[in-house]
Amino acid sequence: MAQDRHLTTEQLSAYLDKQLSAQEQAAFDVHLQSCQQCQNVLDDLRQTVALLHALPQPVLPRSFVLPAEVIREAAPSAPVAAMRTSAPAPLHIDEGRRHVEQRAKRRQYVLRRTLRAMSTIAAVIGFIFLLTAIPIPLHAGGASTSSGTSGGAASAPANNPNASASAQPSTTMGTHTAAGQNAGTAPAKGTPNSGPTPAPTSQLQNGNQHTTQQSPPAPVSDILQNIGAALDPTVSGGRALDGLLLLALAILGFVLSRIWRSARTT
Amino acid sequence: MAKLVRDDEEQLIARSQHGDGNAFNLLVLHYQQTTYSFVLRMLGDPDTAADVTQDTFIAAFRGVASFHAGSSFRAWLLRIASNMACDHWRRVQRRPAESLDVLTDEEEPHGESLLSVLAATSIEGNPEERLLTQELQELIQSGLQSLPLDQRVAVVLCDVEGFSYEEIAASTQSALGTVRSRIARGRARLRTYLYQHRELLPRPYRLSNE
Repeated sequence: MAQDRHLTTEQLSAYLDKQLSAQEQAAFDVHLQSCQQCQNVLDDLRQTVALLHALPQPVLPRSFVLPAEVIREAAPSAPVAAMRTSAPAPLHIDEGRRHVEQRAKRRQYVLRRTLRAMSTIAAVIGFIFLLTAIPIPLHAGGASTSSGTSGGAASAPANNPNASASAQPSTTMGTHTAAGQNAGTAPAKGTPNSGPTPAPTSQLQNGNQHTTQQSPPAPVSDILQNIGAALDPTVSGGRALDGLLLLALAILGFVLSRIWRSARTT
Repeated sequence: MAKLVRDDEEQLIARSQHGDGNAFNLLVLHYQQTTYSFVLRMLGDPDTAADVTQDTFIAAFRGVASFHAGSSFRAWLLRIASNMACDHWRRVQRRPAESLDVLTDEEEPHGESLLSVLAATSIEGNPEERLLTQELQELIQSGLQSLPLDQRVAVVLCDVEGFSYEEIAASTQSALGTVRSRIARGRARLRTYLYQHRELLPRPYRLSNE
């Protein structure tokens, strides 16, 4: 039998749905009576359709009636004439965008909260560092020896247990003496600055002096170690520097979160 | 489900277009079964289908002013549902290669009358219930999900929801000839899928004269 004489699947599918003209329908009837192959294809299509028809109606999981707040929110407030031009296609994009925006807002909120929490923690730790660093200049005067040393002893193991416990005792001793020297020179410069905020700047200078003093004997390779020493929390100068850095970070965090919020609300 | 009287439906649509949510909810009550059923057959997962159905009605309420009185509201509504279901499917991209790989490797000869066995034992076997076994339902569902989206929309609208070719053309915004061709190709492909996955069915449903 010639291939082109057979009916196509599309013709048979349309035949099944009676989507043909009466003329076509009659012609196909004649062909089907004589052609088992097309009859088989038609049977398969018919049974596929029967299976789809036999699929049970799914049970509704819930009612999809719109709640009052959704109606209020989604109500077309624009005049009908203006809305007529808009097709339904962009609407679901609006809908999707709304969902995405809500999710993004929630994520931003969490991020902002995290940022502020971390800024607060940084600020607190920075203050502790600064406060424990301040009494060191008085250490030379001998007035608050106990508070200075106990504060240093309390904070040093907590923040850098390796440095105090196991790592080279000789270097920590060396830096302690250097700090002592710095502390000895500090009152000469720092006595006019009795307030808590100027004091750290003098301590910072001390820290810098401390590194520059250390660098000439060990010119190249020990610079990193010196930077580490400058930030060493077991030393008052290093602690002050750490405190300042943390405070600066905290302020940056707060400012960022404020900018973020104002950008979000506008 | 009883059909809404045409005048009543037009009134409800007109009231919805002026922001009357109660009127729109009467339309929701009338069309939620069709919409959910369509989306479920498109996507397969009941939870996802419920979400997409809800989003469809929200979008429909927002856009109801753009509905042209006199055309088929059902076709318009299912166009939104179809857009949303297809968007979701493309986003998730489940089983991306299956439809291409599985169906091209062999061309089954017709006339094995597998489907007559399937249909006979499942449908005519318990005519008073006309229930398909769970396995067969799942096989048909996964077969639908293996179809390309345009064919799937056409077949589900035609053979599950009982839409006319004209309504499908209105719903998918395509020509009648396109609808006819999509339905035919979708049915043929589904038939091949069922034939190739017959071993997933329990014994009584398998082809007996193999």
